[in-house]
Amino acid sequence: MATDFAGITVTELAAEKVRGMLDKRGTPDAAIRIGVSTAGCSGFSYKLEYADVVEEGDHLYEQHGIRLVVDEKSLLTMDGTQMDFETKQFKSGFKFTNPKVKEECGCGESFKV
Amino acid sequence: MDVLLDISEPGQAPKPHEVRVEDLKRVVGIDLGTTYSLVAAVDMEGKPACISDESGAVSLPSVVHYPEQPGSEPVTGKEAHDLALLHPESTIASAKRLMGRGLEDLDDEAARSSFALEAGEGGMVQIAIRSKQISPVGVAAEILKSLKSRAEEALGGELHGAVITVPAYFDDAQRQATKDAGRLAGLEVLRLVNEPTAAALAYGLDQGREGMYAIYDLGGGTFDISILKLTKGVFQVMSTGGNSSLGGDDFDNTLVDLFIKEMGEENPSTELVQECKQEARRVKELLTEATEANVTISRKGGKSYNRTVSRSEFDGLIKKLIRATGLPCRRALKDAGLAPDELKGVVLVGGSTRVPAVRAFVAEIFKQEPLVDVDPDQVVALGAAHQADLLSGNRRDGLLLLDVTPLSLGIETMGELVEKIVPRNSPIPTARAQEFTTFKDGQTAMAIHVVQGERELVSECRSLARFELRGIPAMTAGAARIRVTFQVDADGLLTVSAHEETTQIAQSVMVKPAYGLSDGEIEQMLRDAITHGAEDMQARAFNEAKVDADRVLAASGAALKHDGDLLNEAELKKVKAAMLKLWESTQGKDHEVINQCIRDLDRDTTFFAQRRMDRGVQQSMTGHSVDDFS
Repeated sequence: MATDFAGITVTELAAEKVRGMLDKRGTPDAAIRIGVSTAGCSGFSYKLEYADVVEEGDHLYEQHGIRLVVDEKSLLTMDGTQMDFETKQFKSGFKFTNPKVKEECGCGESFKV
Repeated sequence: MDVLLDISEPGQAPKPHEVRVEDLKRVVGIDLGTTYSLVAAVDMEGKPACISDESGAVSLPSVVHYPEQPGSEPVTGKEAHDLALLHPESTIASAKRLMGRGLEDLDDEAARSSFALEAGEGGMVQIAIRSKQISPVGVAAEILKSLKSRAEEALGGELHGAVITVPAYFDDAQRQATKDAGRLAGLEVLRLVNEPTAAALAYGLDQGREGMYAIYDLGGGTFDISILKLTKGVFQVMSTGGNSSLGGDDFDNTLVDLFIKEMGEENPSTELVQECKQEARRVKELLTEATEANVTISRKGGKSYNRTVSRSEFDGLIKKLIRATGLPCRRALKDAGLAPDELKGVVLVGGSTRVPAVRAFVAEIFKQEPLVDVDPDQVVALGAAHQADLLSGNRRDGLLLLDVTPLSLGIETMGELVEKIVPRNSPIPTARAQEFTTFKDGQTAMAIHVVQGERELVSECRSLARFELRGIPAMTAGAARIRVTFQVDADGLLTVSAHEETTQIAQSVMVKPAYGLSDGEIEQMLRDAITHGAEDMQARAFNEAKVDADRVLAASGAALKHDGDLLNEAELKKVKAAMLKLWESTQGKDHEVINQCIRDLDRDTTFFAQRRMDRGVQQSMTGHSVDDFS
């Protein structure tokens, strides 16, 4: 099945930030879990967590020295997504660019595919 | 809007629109001004910065227009400002002048509105728009909502809270109205901060030398002067003054009058006056840097009015207006008991302080160059943002947040009286200790009742906690030494401990004093303490006298029981009568009477005490211990 997916990519900057945060957490070897949950005002919203364990059926991607895990169900709605890190004047954080998104809610926190 | 995510611990990813603890940093400072309002936040580099709207404008005109179409949302800011000419009766400007005021409280400036004012519930001012009443609080809430959505866009999520600034002279009602407006706009008002204090904070003066500072605030339509005192990082307002109808708009008007006079216009049209105003403002702003500026105003018939205004000419025109700020300044200095050279610094606030002649005048009045590095239009909002950042615990430098206790903390003593241990407005963290002793002979336990408030009687204060210190060795009344320590940490968490010196037994309790007490309740408690001040002191004096009387009566009773045989019948009768009289006095209300009866009993028992002492000495000489007769 895995070969049917384009997978998730991460920019070098985002990977660097993730490594920094993993070091700070004291778990430099842990992975990062990304996924979608169905809560939200417009369908789906993204989830971004530390992953101390890789579950069965998870898809694993390694890039720029970090490991990303995604469950297959999430991958259906976010395959091809790129994870980046952005710093603006008053905020900074990880940003997902998902080619599957057709519409976002006004606040941008949730989306439809 | 872009969503930027943080990495969460497994299973703790937030739901959309959920405000998490990690998001506490989404706090802002708001300068809710009479003519303009601004919102600022601390940016990713840790510096406060004003947040602009989509068009890049930082200041939002404090104007709200209520459209006629039913169900349509109020319009705020520049759009509303532009609608003011067309719909003066349904476009509200300067609502700040009406906040928390009754109709009869309004000064001339506030009463001179283009919209209709009437008295609403409780006599508060309401604005009548097309048979509907709108409160000034509601108008302010619209402005706050507008700033809130701008800030949420920039900060990337819902706000946790805001610090809003108010003039130093705002009374409780005006402050409450400002808080209500915040709440109405869906903002958690972390704190109201005085505008001059916010300006001082923006300059980081709280980290600087202790002493007195003057804040000179000349806005578009108002002038305020405040003298602040900095002690241990906390600013206190020493005096205020000002003129509620003097500002930069008056500078513009002197130019407008000049232009119209020179054009020879007897009855200028509204459009012409408007055009003159725009030119006047432009000229004023140009003259901040330049020494002269050109004016061009087109007129009917293809003609135009052309003129050059030099800075010295402009200075001459506004000289009288600037000089008018001098008197309030000198008075504020006098009220604070200061000479100008005793000030540690002078801060300029308000766009009109950019005018070089104003700066020169301020330097002359206060005998020192004012601080001008921070944009005077933004300085209040920036200071508020700094304060909000401090309050949210976002400190990046790990420094302790300096805050103060809102109300005094103390314990209950005999006679249901409050002994204040940490006075109100003490900068926290703090630790204070006081020694207490036992009231009765052989007392082995002490109840510690922790209370909060400004009143003298326990029943009028708020009970925070109770605990008992047990195991005090039996001693005569007044011999035990019990040290009670109050410690308030940087988060306002209070720890009270009691500790007996000889046995080292100790007991403690922890409370969060601010918990469950709204700012309104704190204000109410403070107000009560002031209004009941006299009767509280009366009650305190009475209870203290009564405690004394009880102690004297108990001691006399014990003495009669032990050594009554030393008195003959007439003497016994006399002592008993004095005791009865004292007891009766404690049933009355006058502490003076009680104290008199205590003195009387003391006098009437002097000979008795003498005889008891003689007997005591004899008995100790025959091998008894004094303790047996204590």
